[in-house]
Amino acid sequence: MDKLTPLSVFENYSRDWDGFSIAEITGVELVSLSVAGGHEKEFAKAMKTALGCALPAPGTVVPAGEGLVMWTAPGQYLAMIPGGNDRADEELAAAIGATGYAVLQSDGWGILQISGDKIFDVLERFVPLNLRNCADNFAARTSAHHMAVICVRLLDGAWLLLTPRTSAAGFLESLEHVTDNVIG
Amino acid sequence: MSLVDFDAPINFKFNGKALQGFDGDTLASALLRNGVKVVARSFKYHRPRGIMAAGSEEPNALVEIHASGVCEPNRRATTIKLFEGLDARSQNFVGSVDRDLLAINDLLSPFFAAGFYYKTFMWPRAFWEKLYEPIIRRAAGLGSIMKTPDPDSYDKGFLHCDVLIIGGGPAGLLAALNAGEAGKQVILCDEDFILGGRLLSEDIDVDGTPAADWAKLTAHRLMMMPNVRVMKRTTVYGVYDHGIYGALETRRDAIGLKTPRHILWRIYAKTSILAAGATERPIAFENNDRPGIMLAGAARTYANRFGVTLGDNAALLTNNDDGLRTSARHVLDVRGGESVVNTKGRSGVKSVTLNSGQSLPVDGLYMSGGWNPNVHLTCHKRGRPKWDDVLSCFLPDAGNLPADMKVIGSANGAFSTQAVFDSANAACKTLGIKAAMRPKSEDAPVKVTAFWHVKTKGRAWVDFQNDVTAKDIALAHQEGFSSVEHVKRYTTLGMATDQGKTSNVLGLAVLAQASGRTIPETGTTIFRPPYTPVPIGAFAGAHRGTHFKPTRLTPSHKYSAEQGATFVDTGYWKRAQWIARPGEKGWRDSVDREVLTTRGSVGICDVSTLGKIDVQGKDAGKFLNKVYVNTFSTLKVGRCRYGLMLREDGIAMDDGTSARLSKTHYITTTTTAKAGPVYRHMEFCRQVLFPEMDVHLISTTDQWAQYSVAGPNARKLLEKIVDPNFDISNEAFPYMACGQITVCGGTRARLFRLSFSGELAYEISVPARYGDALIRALMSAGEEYGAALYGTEALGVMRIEKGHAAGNELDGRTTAAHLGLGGFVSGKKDCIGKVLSAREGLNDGVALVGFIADNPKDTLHNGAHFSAELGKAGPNEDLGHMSSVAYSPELKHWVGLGFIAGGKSRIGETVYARDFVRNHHVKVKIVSPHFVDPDGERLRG
Repeated sequence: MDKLTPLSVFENYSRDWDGFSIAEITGVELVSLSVAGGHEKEFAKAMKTALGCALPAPGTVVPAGEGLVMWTAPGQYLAMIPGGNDRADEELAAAIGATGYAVLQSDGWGILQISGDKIFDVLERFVPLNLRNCADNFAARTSAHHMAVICVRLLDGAWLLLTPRTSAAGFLESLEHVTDNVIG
Repeated sequence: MSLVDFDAPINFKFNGKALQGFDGDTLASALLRNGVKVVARSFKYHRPRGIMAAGSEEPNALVEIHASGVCEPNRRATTIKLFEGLDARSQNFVGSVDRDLLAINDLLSPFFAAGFYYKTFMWPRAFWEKLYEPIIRRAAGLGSIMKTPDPDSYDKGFLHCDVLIIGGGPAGLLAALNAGEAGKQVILCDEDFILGGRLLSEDIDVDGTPAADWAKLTAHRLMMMPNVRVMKRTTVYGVYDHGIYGALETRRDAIGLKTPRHILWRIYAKTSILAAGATERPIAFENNDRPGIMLAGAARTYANRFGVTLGDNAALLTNNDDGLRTSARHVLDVRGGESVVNTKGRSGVKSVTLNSGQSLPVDGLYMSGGWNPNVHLTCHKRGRPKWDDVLSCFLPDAGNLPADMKVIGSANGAFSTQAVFDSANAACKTLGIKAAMRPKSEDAPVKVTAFWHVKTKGRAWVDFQNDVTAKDIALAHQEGFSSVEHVKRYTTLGMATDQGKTSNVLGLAVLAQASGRTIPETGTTIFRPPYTPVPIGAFAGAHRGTHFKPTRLTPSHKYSAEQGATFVDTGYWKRAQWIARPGEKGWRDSVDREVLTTRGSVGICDVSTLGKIDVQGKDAGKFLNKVYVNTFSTLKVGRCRYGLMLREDGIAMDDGTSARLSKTHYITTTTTAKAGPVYRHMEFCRQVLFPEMDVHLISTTDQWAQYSVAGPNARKLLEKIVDPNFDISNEAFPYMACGQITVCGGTRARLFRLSFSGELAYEISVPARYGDALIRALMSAGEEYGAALYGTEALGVMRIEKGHAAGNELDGRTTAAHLGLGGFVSGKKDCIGKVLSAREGLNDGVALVGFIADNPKDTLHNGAHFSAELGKAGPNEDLGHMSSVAYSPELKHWVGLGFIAGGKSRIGETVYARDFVRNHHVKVKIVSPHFVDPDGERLRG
């Protein structure tokens, strides 16, 4: 039997408008991490060793090598790790040992990078959060057009939008629709 | 000082006639400039109406806008910015607006007093809906709506600020300047397309320069500030909880174009400053509604801002000094004992009759009954304004405002321009914001004497839009409707699109006079959102058509569509319902084939929609013991177990299976419909009920693509997919086994030996990125077995044949005992819902059984109720109901599942399944719910 070929969520979508661009990010793995009860300090230490980063505070993201780690809930984090390795959860689970638990989430989410001068003009028609005035290391879960989205601000001013895979096509359609309305 | 650009002409049409206006005109100013007097017909009496105001308070000049087959009714001519090609038409007439056939209503007005239809059209009763109401609705009304979908698009958005300033007149401009200079994030909204408010209308100076110039310079300064967002043509229409404000931005007036016409903004503000100004009141006198009779402030707006010459022989009727600013040949000041008792002129006022009896020829009449502060937004959180005797108006109650709202300027009773500026600076000071400037302007004291109504025998209009006269209000009071709320509803005072902006206070005053009370004793009404009409399309925004709700697609969607699947909406999901093949004449052909192929060989179904929850932690098993009625802590690694979950009240909530992958790791599945609620329930249990447990939940529904492979050849097919180092023989991988495997040369996968169909079956899952590839690989591997892709219909048929409960049975009313699963409730442990599931009266002996028609040719229907006999039907005769039915291609007759008193103890009896909706009553036999393979030999094979 032939090997199975992976399919990206947005089939490598990218599109540019005047002052705004959308591009799918592929080749990264997402792993959800939970802290085992009573092992908070050990978990933080294990994460420092495994990914080289301190744990992010609520509503923030921290760089972790070429990836990043964002806070998602009390005692819960989402790591974005470069490289297409669908066993990234197992490797991270081995690295943190009994201090926490890891779950592969890469396939559950589509990731879009958005950038450009008109980024906030588009986002304010899409996302209810105050993104214009947020901190540089901002990350938050919210909704856009009734679909879930995680917004992550990158240091270069671009943003990542993570949205569940099964509704991702509708999410992208909505984002394109809004962008067309704003920019034309 | 006109702000109209006379070098920029704009062509438009009104009632089909080509006219010309200029950039900076509204439709109203352009019509007046072109000498158009009759713009519309009134609501009830079809009286000719002109333009009375210059802003959003306009009650008369409602028009339809037309464009290539589309139309929007009830637009105020005073708020339409003139644009090239505008096609505006009068509304609410039969014939022409100048010669309206329904003007006969005016002659019949003695019969059309307030509430006339409550008294007149009482019999025959059946005539009300069929005859009277349709005629009344046709004769009285506003514009006509399109019966086709709205061609325009709308958008929504979200804004955040430190200070929201509502109103861009002198108060709002200065407050915005102060807050902007102080570094605050400011949003300034104004409904007009030029900032300045009354500064644009009055011939006054600010700091020695014309007021309109000061407004222009200040607006420019604000627009240059990066922390100030100036939003023209944006009406803040509502105040909501937690500092949230609704605002409607109008991007264009033209209709039927592609770009959004309106944007509905949700504004989150830490503080708001209401600078909404004031609205001038009319005075009620006989025939005060004729075209050419206008509010005095509006007359100044048209003259000063728009440069329109209204006439050279106009009269002014006023009760206050502000009215005296208006240029008019004849000044009639009620404080000097002068007043107007009547007017004449069919299509435009020609003369006024004074209280002295003198008839005065005029070409216009301007009236000023004083000003009402626009307190509407202060009432949206149930604030009630207070009457001020000195100013003769309602003022916001400072102790009862929406949280963090300040009210400044005329909206707070400051009526001179200087007082307006001073109030803006004072309010900013209370917010810790320094005054950026202290402009100087006129500071005339307010001199007003309350004067409402010139009593005569004729009709004096109070609410111009709804044709409510002072006589109507007096009649309402006479008939016992003395509360202002009752008067409003009996007479329709203050209703319709203007929401009584010019009529509410006047109506209240007339009611007070009729009842011999003061205005405060009579009371007031408060205001609800919206301040001005908001199109329904703006509330919907982009959420129309396919964007009405989110759509979730399964990993096999693309493949299924290629195969010609018919999709069904199940919640947000689109699932393949059946997959027709050439030659099949209807859905039953396809479903029967899918079922028979699966039971005869092998079928494949996408079950990725089932909720999947990853449960990890040292206490994961203990936690599942709490949320399911049966025990999971003892489940061996590598095994699955069916679980039933109860609500706190003991009613069955959901069912599914849990697979144990390691000592601390379970995968729990839910039904498709309950994936969200079950996850939420489990998170509640984890965080609130059992916070001491080390357990962690993650939804992995989207992460894994999962397919059911069912049928006698399921194992053979899978052996072609699963990598050879994994043994999936019956011995190594028995029924209810689970494991982590690889497929197709190393792709990570999970395998569960579960069966919903009753056949030898597996569920195989891979990371969703491989979902499309796996369905193609499975179907390719299944070719030699004639494998069928099957949809939700076949899935449903097979689960009914097997006797599995699903959504129809887990309907929020049934217990474990009803479902025949009472034995699952562990007696050795506690679980959520256990205590209340045993409460008295809950388990009434009704239980799930199977049904077949006594005559095999009969069909069965969902929802049929069981009774012992065919006679009387009612609650006392009801034995239960049919919950699920299907035609069984395996058995070649209909089978059903249902709940009946006595449950399995009645197997072998016959009853009647009575369907009163379809009038279809069938004698049925009670049988075991397991129609196919009752001993489970196939699934264990």
